[in-house]
Amino acid sequence: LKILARGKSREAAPLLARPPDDQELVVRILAGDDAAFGTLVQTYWERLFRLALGILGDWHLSEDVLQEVFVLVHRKLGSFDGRSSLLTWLYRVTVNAALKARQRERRKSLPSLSPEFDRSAPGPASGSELEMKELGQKLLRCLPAKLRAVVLLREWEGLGYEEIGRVLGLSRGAVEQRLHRAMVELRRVWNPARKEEWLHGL
Amino acid sequence: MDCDRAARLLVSRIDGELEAGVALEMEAHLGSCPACRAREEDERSLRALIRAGAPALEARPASLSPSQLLFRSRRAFAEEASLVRSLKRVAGLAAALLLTSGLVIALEKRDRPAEDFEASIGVVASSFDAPLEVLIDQENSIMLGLGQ
Repeated sequence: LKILARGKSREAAPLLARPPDDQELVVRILAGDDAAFGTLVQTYWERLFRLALGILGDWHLSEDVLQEVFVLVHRKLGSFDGRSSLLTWLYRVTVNAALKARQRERRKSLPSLSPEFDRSAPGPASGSELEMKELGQKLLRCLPAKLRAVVLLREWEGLGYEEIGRVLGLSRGAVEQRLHRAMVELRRVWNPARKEEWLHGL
Repeated sequence: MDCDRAARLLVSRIDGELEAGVALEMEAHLGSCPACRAREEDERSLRALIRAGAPALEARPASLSPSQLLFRSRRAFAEEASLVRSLKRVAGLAAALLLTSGLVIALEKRDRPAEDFEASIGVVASSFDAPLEVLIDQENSIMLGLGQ
């Protein structure tokens, strides 16, 4: 027993000292280490789930998509070539799976806003945090899914243009252009003076 | 810099992605153009709203427990392996059939010139390995982003 315990602690010590880096995780998962896969899920589920949720706007569908993503990641990790970071690759798999799921579920897709929202005098857009959250989510729903993905990667995930391009397979210029189009669309639909309607009527 | 160009570059300015030279031009334009300054303010507050929309996730959903995911992954692997096995069996049968019919055709065409004979064998041979590729197509398209 003592020997076993000693062996265990010797194995565990470096892990406690520092979290395994991504490359090490990948190597261990490919070698069949289930605990390493657990670490990967625990490390990344939140960011990937938030992204899927942003694209799909539906909790259960996002859960399904994330299951699909992690199962795919476990089975196809060998095709991760290490040219991008692991997180970039995971974002990529997640965006693709979410957009696919969205296509499948088109009929149930979120209602888009009526285009009659004019932008007259812009007023102060302050409010409680909850209101802000609701408005933010409603605004996101006004965007087509592909523009939304760019906006989410920028604003929720904090990625730079280069990295967004790597996730989506776009050039840096195309990322800038999509963000610009997203902002044009958001400015077209959003009118701070009609915030109450946004909160209650949509 | 005119307003059109400024409007297009505004996202990059807000994200700190402008090259230094362009950033200075932009600064100068905004200094002299109230309309573009107002637009920048609008865009910044829209982004603040979008950021506020990020959901706060507390506990990981039970469906994403690593053990359950591993179980699903292994089951999917086993299913794929058995599907591949049965497809191989079907493909083997089909190949045998094709080969037989190919030989019959070839024998019938024995009197024709040599290129014809080789061409008919070639067609038979190249039709063997199609079905296996279809199998992994969907997953690969998700991984590689080909499905969009």
